Amino acid sequence: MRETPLSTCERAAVLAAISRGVRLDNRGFLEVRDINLSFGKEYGSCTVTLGETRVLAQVTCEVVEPRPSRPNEGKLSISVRLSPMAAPHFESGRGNELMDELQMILDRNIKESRCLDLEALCIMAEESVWQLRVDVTVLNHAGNLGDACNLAAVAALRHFHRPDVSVEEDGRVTIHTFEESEPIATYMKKVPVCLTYAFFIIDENIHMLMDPSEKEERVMSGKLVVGLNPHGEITSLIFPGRVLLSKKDIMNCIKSAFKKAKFSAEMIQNLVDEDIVKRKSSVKVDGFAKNLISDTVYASHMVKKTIDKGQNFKFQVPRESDEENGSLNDEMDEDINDEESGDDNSDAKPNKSDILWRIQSIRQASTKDDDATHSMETDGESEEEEKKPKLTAQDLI
Amino acid sequence: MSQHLCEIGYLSRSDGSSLYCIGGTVVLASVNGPGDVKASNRHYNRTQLDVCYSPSTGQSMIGERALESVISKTIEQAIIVHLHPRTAINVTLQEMQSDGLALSTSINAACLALLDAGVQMKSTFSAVTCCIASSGAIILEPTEAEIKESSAVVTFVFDGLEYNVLSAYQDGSLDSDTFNLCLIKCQLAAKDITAIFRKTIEDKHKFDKS
Amino acid sequence: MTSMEIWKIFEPDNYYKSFLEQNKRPDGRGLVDTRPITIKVGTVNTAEGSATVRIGHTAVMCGVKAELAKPALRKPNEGFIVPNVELYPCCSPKFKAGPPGEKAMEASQFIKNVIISSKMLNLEELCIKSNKLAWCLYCDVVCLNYDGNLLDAALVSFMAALQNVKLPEVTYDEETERIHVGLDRSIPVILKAKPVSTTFTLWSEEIQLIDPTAEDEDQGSGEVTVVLLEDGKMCTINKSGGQLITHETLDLFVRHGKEQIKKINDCIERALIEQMDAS
Repeated sequence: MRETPLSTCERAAVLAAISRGVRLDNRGFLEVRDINLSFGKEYGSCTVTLGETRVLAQVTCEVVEPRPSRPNEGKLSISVRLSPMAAPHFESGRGNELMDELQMILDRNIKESRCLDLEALCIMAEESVWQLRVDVTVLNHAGNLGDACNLAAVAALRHFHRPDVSVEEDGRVTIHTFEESEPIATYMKKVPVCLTYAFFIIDENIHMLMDPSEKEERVMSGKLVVGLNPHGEITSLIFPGRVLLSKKDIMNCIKSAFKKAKFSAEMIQNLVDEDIVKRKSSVKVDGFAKNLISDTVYASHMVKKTIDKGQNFKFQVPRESDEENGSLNDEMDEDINDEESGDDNSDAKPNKSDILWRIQSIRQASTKDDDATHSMETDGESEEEEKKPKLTAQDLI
Repeated sequence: MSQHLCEIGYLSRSDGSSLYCIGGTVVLASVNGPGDVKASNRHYNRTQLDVCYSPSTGQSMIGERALESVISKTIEQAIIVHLHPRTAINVTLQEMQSDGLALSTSINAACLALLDAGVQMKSTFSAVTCCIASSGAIILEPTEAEIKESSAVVTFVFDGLEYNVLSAYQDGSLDSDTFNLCLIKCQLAAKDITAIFRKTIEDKHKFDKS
Repeated sequence: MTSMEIWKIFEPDNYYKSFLEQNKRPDGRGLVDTRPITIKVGTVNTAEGSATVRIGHTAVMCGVKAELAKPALRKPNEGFIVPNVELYPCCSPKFKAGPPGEKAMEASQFIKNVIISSKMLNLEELCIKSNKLAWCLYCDVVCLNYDGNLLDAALVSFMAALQNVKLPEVTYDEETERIHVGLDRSIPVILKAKPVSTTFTLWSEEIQLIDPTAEDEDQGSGEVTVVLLEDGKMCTINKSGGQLITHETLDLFVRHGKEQIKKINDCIERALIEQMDAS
């Protein structure tokens, strides 16, 4: 199916908002959408949501012969899939530009950065090694797939446990089940993080945004994708041109990226470790069945969050455009009404059958999640954002 | 019966989507369309239906392609394909977590996603899997471990009106009396599943109206 | 061109319907009559086992090629059997050249399912030396002429070819790791079950046609394939989509299927004896 065209007024709205210092989803310029990780029943299966962007990563392993050039190293392969599920204009089984780009980002950040100790995956040199395969499937494309895919693949790899093996004298490899012998965790030396910056040129001023949404991605003039790890190493840098930046600006971007990378890497580590500890202590693992939150619920949750933030929520729009301001607020009010009445309904519905109603459990989860959702926003960054929300043409000279 | 969990409106970019869990099997379904279709797949009198099923692990092999064709033929019978000529409907299914019930969970997820997308159908359809344990007992909606131990696995798809058989898929040997017993048991379970569909859709529209 | 042929071209649906109203099909059969079946085994000299089957105008050939391979890591004591169905454009203009289409894949998977669920083969018997050497049987089914009912024809040819297989004796020397293959092919593959499939095309709620031709398949809406073992136990049922059927209809299919079991298995038996006499 064809991609839905972006209308001129949508494009104008995005640009107009950015030139006045706001984003359509009421985020700060350097604010990242909510990140949520949930893990499946098996080791190494993980979904990541970045706002409404949703990516599934699954790791599987297999015993294979090593490459003759590297006889004592395991293998790692990563594949990205974009199906019509992500967005209607993708075709299943056929690659496109975006898929190639994502594949490149993941290969460079995870495979070529050698963040995984591949030698630990060797069973017997020149005979047999483990091959890890990461399948990254995009479930919903709402912008910034690079960051989301990277996050999902890294979390899944870190979460993955492979079965124990024993090698007999005649070179025979026996794979033990998880019941027979404790599974072995994958060791990740450095956690790679990927961050995307979008640039907009409006009236010769350059504005910089983090974590662009799908609409912003379609309007933006150019972008910079940085892959790095908290140890101060850059693993990849993609800057497709289309916008001119000075050396200083790129350095600033990278500097701010390092700060965020540290936070992001810690978050992944903590969440993965937390889940693994939980898994080891309790017998039954729910998996995805009870832990996933739908976009409909997420959207209403976001509206609620905005209301909870305080009634002082206002668009920072200059005086002269009062008309536009008013209409935007009206829209907001409508959303709020929707939300409230919706809530009444779900509360009024008693749950009698033995079938648990998903909506309700999710609703509880999402209210609990209020505290649990991990936002990458920190105080320091919002200050920074106020001080220097955009790069101007003056900066470039 | 195992616990059924379902939710619609799961993905923001799809016209209709649903998440369906039976026991430990979780399938995400997305429906797009009726939309445009390239000339080679265009039919002058009906909608082209494209079903794409991806397993939870690894690439889709011949077994998955066969599963895809069972799902596709089942859906094709339920949708009123002559209503939108020269168009295509895309159904994409992603198994998120596997526990033996990929076929029945996928079909149920597809049905809910089609309902969510508002695609016109002759009737709903619901799938139930059961297996015959080595003791001879019939287990409805078994786990993967139970399937491995069993002597036969049967999956039925019933329509939502008369509960007649829309699709049937059986592996492993069993005598025809047991088969009939399975059919009756699954037919009863299918009624419960249709009730779940109804309630889920009712909830959605209550939410929408106000 | 006769007026009958013109009618068929201009109103294919009415033409077909007028036959069914008389409880007949365009080829003269009644609704529950099957087409004549001829089986010949050992038709391909280079294969370890082979058979050619004709059901009406549908002709299918199956060749079994045996190769030595290393067992899989997870199943060190088992050999392999790999069924594959090919539909080339030469058998019908319906099929295109290139990678296997939906129908061919469905048929391959169908045979695979029958092998597993009927438990006809003990794969451990195909293993020569645990973790070192095992037989891998490639069973290639090629359709020569397509006129409906591919699944039945494919399964009959597969079963006949498998019973025709003669493997050479193989010894494995553990010390020198040398493989010795005997010259004469003498060891048969032992089959534990002989499943027989019967396919029906659904035309309406009341009318179902056994052993459909390509025309029957085009006119009908969906097929049902019932696979039964010799003792009448059900082995596989395959109905994907198509016309809705009731419980009773399904019962009727199983009853018709039971009638076919002896007929088909006797046919294969005769073909095997015939070939043995000839050689």
